[in-house]
Amino acid sequence: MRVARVGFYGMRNIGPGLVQSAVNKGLTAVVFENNSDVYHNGLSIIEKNIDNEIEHWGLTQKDKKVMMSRIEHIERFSDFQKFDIDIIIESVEENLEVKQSTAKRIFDELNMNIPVMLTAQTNSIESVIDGLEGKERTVNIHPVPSVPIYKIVELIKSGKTSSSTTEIVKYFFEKLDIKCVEVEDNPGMVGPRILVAAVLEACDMMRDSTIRAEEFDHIMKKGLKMYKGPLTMADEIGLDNFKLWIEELSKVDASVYKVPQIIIELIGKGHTGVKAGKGFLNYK
Amino acid sequence: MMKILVLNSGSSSLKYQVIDTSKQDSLVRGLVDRIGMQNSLLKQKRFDNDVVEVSEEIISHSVAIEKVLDLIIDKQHGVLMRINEIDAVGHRVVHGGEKFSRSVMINDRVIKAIEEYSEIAPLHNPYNLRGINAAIRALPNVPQVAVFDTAFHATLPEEAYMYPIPYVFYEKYKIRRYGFHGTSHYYVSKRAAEILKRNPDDFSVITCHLGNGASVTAVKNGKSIETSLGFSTIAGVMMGTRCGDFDPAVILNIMEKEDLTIEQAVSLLTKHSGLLGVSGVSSDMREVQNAAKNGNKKAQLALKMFSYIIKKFIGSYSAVLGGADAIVFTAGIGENVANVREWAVDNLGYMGVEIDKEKNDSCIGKEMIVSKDSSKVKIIVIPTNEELVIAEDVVKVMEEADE
Repeated sequence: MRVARVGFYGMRNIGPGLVQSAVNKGLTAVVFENNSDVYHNGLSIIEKNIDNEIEHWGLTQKDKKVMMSRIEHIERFSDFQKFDIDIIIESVEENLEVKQSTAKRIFDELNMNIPVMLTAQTNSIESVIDGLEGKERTVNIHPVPSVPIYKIVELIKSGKTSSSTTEIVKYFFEKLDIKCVEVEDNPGMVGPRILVAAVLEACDMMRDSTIRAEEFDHIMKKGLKMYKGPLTMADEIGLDNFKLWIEELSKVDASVYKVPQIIIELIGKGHTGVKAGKGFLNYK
Repeated sequence: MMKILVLNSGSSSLKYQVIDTSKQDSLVRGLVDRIGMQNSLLKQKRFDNDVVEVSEEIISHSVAIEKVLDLIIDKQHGVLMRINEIDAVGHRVVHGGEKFSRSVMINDRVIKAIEEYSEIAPLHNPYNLRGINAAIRALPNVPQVAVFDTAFHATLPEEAYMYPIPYVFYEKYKIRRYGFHGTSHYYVSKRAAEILKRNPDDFSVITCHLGNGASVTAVKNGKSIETSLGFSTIAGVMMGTRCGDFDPAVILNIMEKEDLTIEQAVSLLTKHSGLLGVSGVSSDMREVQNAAKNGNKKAQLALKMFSYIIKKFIGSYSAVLGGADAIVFTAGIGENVANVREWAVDNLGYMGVEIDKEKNDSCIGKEMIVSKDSSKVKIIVIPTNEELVIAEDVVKVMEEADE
């Protein structure tokens, strides 16, 4: 079994975090992203994450140089074959139609019999691949915590996912030192759903009281022993991405999931999180 | 006469040698680097200095071993005509825990135990196992022997291997000092007795293995009785990027103040500390020395600390031994850096340790006594040869199996 080169269709959503995890463990990430701004924004998120790790002694400058050299950018979809990728990860925006059309293109046009990993945070795997060929080689995944250092990944199989596909996907995450936990196919899985709930509660509290984002995260971290505060995690995911998560979940239950005014206002000001230097919290 | 393939398998590398035990010499040695990456490199050097380099993708340890075996029997660059000339394979395994006090023939039970010790040696044992599994697949009918880095230190007395923390952690998690670099300490301590024509059963020696990783061991009558590396490979003396011993409260304090995760704290102690951390220049002793010569104060401090800490260990291990007959320096820094040796034994005249400056300065990478003739405690530089120890152990294990 070989998993040495990982294809990424898109550099949005949790794509940069997964690219970082792959190159950190010596794999090559082959990224297909036609939008130059999105690609470079993704690269800059990875660089910021690595710099943050260096600042916190987790990596060295040499590690950074080696990691960045393992990222290959391709502008033609067919170049995935040239790079002989072993697995492909969809990392487009969190929108059901976009996810569906991406999955369709991978199945129809990528003439490679390799596992396909979807990263549908708030949509079920069945809803993304409904009516498509290739179900047996598809899984849906969500790494937790969201960014940048993953500890575990939630793994969702379709009703037809083959045992070979599961085995290769598990081997891939084993190489990344990430544990796989199989969960049922529900929109939002476990991590994203709980994170969204925590952020929505935080937004309600910030609206109704004087609590600040820093205070909320501090209580969650120190009091509830969370690795990172939920608002920090949302900032790292990007509030524009996070808004899409909530919107997709609202299709399941609009009474629970509604984009808070505070997130709309922050995005309106361009404060989309860590990548913008400001979100719920300030990163400058 | 036996030909032993010695393998040292790391996370993305595989070092190898073919040793002819009758000549106690290496026929060929090589390194496969960047396994699992796009630009893997296989470099091999034969006894007659024939060098060959192959750059191609090597996706796994299994493929690496296949390439190595091909090159060993290569008509132009190889040393064997047929692969079945290899009599046995010796594997360096870093952690043998409490189960293995000596080298053993590899079987399912041994593999399971090495797997179990992966929990306390996660950076080494899993990769050693990859090499073992790959070699078993490639050479299924050839005996495979595991030689453990920890085995030589199995003789540590309880008071030396236990830590002064609640005993329950030893019972629950086997937390104790294990020690590493065992094959090197064993080889140079044995060789020191030979050089000095001493009975190894009546001989006390302090061995300083100073490479990028470093450790000091007290060897009495051929047995390790104290060693500086511990449960992990970051304890003891200062190293290239590893911290060695310091107040454990410091890291807890830094973790709290800088909000570090366990992974970040481990990285701080293993990749950012030691010579690199103090000097801010490099983990490479040569670069730190150059910077120190050019007036870099932190590099000068790093150098002083490096030698000072070794001296502290030499002093305390002399006490443990009840006096030493010899002090040995080995590995990259120990074999090649005269001033580190000089400073590490500076002012130890009261212990009978007198270095000969001229001899010491002239000794680079060769076996030599560098103490004054009048020195009660001999100071010896001995190039280490871990691969030979592994090969000899393989022969020993095979002979015992035959009996």
